[in-house]
Amino acid sequence: MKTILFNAMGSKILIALDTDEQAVMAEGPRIQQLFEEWEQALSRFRISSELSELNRHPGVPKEMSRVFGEVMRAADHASEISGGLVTPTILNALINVGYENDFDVLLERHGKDFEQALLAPNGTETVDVDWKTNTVTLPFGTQLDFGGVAKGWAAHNAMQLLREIAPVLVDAGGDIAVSGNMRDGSNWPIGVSNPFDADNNLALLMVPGGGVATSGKDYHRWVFDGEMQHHIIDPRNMLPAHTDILTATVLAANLLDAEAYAKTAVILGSDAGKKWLDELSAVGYLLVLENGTMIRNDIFVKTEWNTQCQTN
Amino acid sequence: MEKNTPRKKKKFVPTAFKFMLAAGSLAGTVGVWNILARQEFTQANAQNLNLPGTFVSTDPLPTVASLIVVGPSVASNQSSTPAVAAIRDVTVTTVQQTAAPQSGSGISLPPPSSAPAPVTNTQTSKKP
Repeated sequence: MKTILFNAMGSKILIALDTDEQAVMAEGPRIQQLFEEWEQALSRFRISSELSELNRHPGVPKEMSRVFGEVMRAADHASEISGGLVTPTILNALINVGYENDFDVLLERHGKDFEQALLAPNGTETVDVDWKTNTVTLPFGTQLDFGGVAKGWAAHNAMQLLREIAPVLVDAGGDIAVSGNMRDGSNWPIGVSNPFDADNNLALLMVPGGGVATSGKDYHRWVFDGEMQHHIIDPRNMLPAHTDILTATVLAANLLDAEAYAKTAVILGSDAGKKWLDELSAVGYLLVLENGTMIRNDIFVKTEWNTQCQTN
Repeated sequence: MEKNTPRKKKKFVPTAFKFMLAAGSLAGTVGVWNILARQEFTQANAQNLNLPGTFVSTDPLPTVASLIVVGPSVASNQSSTPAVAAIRDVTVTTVQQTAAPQSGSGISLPPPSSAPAPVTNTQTSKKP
């Protein structure tokens, strides 16, 4: 197996190719360059990015690049399957609660406890996308943050590009896209990190393909205005979601869906989130609550290594 | 009485041969330097390939032969320190599970010792 490691989009990127061919080494720099181009289009932390340019010009139709258009479609899709709970129109809400810069920069500058006095509107209007002219217009008071959608799209896209070469797994900061079984027909072993203990895993999944994503409030947390804040915004009130779920891990047919489902579950909380996930077909989930309780469905259990051993 | 005639200088080696020797020596020196320079460049890259996030300078060493600069060119001046791709062979092995089971928190027991080592982990965020 060959692995390619680099940093992009504020995360560690790992690409694992199940092959002995040395020729895949040439793919490392090529994929890294692609990630760089995607980040330059999609990052809200880069002042010269296409996204930042759009955010600075509400009310003005902007032509979208191919990459930007694809991620807008992915964001639309995430919004549709989540009933509007996963939306990119939450940037002002994030800024309102202090998340106005890259998280590492915030920590370095302020520590985990910092105060800010910012005034940003919370627009909730629908973003106007005209697919015929390939343009997007932001309403006043709204800014976009693609967040996990951009990272999920990037991992999914990289996986699609590399799957012709060999069975491949692409991990973009914990969101994982898998092309299919490994060469010998076995599944990919993927650990599920324990949010209470980073050195240990909660479970070992044997994933045949599709996407695995974890969303939660265990990492991006800070104190603002005397209250604990996190980065998962509930668009119903444009505040950090009031939820008892610490992390939600979801297995789905593809990474984009898995990411949207996981975030939706976190926003909804354990009761409503579990009911909502149970109505989906072919989706496995593990919810870790703040009190340490774990809730998982049958599909998740059947994907775990222990279960597969017993059934084989 | 000896005649004081001008002595002709003896030529042991023809001039053409001297030229050949000089040219050969120069070519050898340049060639060896070039090989050494390439080796140093390759080794420097190889060391850095295992250090994600480390900036690698790919300026060629002084040599008469042009070097091929590898790696992506980072076009944006907005980017932070460019990360460097690391490519390596890995084998999925079986590892000894050493984690103690957590009780009372509802957290599941760790997989037994014969479980394959995960290729990677899913989690909320993985920072560089």
